[in-house]
Amino acid sequence: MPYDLYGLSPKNVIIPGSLTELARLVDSAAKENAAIIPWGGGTMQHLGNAPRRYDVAIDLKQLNHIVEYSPDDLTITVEAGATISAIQTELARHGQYLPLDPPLPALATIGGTLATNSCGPLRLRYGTARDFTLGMTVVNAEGRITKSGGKVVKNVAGYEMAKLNIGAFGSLGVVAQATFKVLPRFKEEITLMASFGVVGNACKVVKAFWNLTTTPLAIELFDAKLAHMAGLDQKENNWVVAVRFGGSKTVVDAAAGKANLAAQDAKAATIEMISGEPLWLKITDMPAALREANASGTLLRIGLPPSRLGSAIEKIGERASAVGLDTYGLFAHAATATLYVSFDADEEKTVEEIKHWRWALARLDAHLVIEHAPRAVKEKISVWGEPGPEHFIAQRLKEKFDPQWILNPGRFVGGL
Amino acid sequence: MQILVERRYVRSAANLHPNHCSLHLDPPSVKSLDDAIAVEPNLLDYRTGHRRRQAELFSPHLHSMYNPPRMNKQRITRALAQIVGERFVITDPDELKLYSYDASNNVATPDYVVAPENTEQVSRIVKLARQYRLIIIPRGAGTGLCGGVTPVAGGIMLAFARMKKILEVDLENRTALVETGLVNLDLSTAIAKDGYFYAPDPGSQAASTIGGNVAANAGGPHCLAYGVTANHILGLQLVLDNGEIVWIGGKSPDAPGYDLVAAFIGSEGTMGIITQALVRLIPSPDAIRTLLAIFNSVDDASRSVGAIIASGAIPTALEMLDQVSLRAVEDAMHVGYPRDAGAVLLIEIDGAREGLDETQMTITDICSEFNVREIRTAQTPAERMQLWRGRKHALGALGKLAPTVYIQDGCVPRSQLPRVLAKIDEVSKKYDLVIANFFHAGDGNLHPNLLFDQREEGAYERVLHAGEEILRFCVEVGGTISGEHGVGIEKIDYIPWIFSEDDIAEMLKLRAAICPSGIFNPCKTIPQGASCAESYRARSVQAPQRNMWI
Repeated sequence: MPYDLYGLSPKNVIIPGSLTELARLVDSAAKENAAIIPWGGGTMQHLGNAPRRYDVAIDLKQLNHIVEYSPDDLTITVEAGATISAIQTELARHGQYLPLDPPLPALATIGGTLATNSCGPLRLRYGTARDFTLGMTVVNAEGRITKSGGKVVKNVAGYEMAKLNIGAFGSLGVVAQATFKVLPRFKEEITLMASFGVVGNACKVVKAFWNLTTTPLAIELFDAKLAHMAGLDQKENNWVVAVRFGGSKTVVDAAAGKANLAAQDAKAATIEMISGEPLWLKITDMPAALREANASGTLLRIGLPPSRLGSAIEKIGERASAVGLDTYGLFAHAATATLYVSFDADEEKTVEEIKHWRWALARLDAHLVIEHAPRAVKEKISVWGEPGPEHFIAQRLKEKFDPQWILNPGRFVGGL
Repeated sequence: MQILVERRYVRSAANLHPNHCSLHLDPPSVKSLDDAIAVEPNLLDYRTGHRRRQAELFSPHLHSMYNPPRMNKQRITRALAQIVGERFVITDPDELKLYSYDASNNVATPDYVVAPENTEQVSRIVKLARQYRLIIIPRGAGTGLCGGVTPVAGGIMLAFARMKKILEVDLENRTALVETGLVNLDLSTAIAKDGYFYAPDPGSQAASTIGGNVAANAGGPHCLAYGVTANHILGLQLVLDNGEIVWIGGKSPDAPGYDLVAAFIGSEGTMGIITQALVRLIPSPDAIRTLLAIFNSVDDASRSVGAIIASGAIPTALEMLDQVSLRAVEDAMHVGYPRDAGAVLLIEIDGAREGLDETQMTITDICSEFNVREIRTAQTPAERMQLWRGRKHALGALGKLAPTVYIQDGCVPRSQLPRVLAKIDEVSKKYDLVIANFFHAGDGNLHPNLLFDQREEGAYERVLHAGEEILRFCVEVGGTISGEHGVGIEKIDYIPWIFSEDDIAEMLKLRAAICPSGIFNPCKTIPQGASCAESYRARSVQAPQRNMWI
């Protein structure tokens, strides 16, 4: 069934046609103590724990309008059910774009993207949604429509409720509308792709790219398996680094030249210049591609300081060889840094490996999140990792904002 | 109640218009707030000028919640001295007066000022405050413009003057860990030799602290391209209201959990004491170019602002000064602004040097479309400093025009700038006030400076009415009540202009969850309703009608 999660089916599926209707729905749910799970494109519903309860699925697909768009002010207000692609298409008509590039943009809704704080390669240059969301409307656990922020790029009135709800998995309120600051499109862009035999050199070039006088838009690192999945023929070279620049022709050409030198310095085996979107559409979708290619396996997401990326990859590689584990693919948003690892093993071994890596990577200040895994694995090991000592604050927030635990209960960190 | 009213009267007497002296030197006996208002219906502190604020400040309910009986004062002083050392506890009334000011017009004195040396001491002070039911007001440099550090009911002021170390600089990951008493500019200066800087540059940066910047979500001219403080904070060490020390955030992205760091940025000291911050560092730009675009009218200048931003040639700073301001600056400092210009734009672009020519050309072309008279480029770092001096010291230069200034901080969509500036001009004529505008035009963040002499009868009243009319218009055109200066006390009454009761209730849930006791900087930032002062609900805020004294 389309809205099933972890073998649970909702008793009702409702598709509200307006913000007011959504609010009324949540209000009724609150009165009946019914647990609700909001749905967008469903592209991220595999994240998190199984829900504790699941009574109503609220599909936000009809709340997909562009509420207000002011190209002169470079701000746009959209409803949560609008897909990323639809928003970008509208913005493109005025030569603008939203610097948010999560996987599967044609399916992913802005509401879900915000609730999960999904991002993509552009995070390096522009940050996450928290960095360019100007205001938000949230339907709270009592069914009241509440807003925060506004439409202007600088605003210190009120607390930052939008940022709190971004990445909160809908556990504090249902994201209904948001206002963003957008950017004018670049006149030109270029990508340099370099391949390496040794991951150490690949990481060296990542650092060099990051320190160029023109800030790159994105720096991505992936292994040969993923290169193959993306249709990039890399032969024997094990690691690929792609760096993207945007701006005027002068800036872009100069940056590409410097990047070329840096890649040569780092002993790149091959260097290619590529322009256009197709490569980046593939890179953006890599987490989704990995998950699909290894649907019965496990996908991990590791957040770590950029300086530790090289050691993390080496440690993972060593361990994988030592225990005879074959990884399906490995790729990273290299300079932020976020590392995705996909592998397949039986349940017991998977749990053992995750435990080991959590311990080993903790020394590198890294967090390991299980994005996708068989249900049996998720039941045996914490998806989010053990909550930190500050978790009691999160618990208090949940108790205040959703005392009945009707908003996506149990999916988030520490079972919130 | 009586003692406090007496003190306030005596303090006010020194600043009052001579005609009022006799009334106030002989304070009547008042047993309640109602008595006080009955005796003096226009109970007015010439410093704050807000009648309602007086009522809140003296809410007997609030005082009974927080004021300890006198005999505890010695005990508390001793206990504080045991934590930080006798030298670093201030209780002498004359010394306390130094801490009763910030850069706004709000004045009130704390009961104690304590300067801790480390987070551990802060934690012990918080626990002590809980024990004796005192409120706590954290204070950086006191440069705030909204009364964020004004103690509304005495309490302990935590001065961070001694906690200003840079604990770690990690250039590879572009982060720095600092104590929150560190002065903003000192951080950038310390890492400049390594080719990095800390981007948020509020006008106060030579004095304001990182902690204060975080609490206010400070902006500054360069936040146009680099973002505000919120975009540069990766982690915080906090002391919560039970004295517990927690760390939130870190160097790794996407730590599982809520974005608690965001909850504290801009919270104006109402949720927890921020003791350390992990901040983002930015590599110093390859090259910088500074331009001065001279226009014959404010309208031309403000229209070109929107066009520049929309073109994609986004400068790192785009500041405007109107004729009143640039004349004041030129007369005071001779930085080279032409006195007969209608307005000037100070534009800075930075980045890879090979791109700057093109960006400069785009901007120049746009300015020409809007009838720019002349564009000057700073040829040397010294010339650049000179142009910026004019902008950064503009507020001081206004001192030549009038003894008192009331600064506003409305932020509007850029496209509305011409309308709002026209409205400000209209308001200045209507209320017969000189208003100088110098501001972050690129962000639509206006700073109308209303100039007056507070000793002149009725002047402050006119200023408040004028200011509220301007702010009301900013909200009407889609803007907000504060772009960067903060809400504090100064604008708390205007929060209902932009947020409904439901919105406010939601925000108060956040505060209640993180600071259930409410001891950190109460009565600021978000109107707290009954728990703060009954007067809030009773006097629901509307824009003042003509001739109505609020």
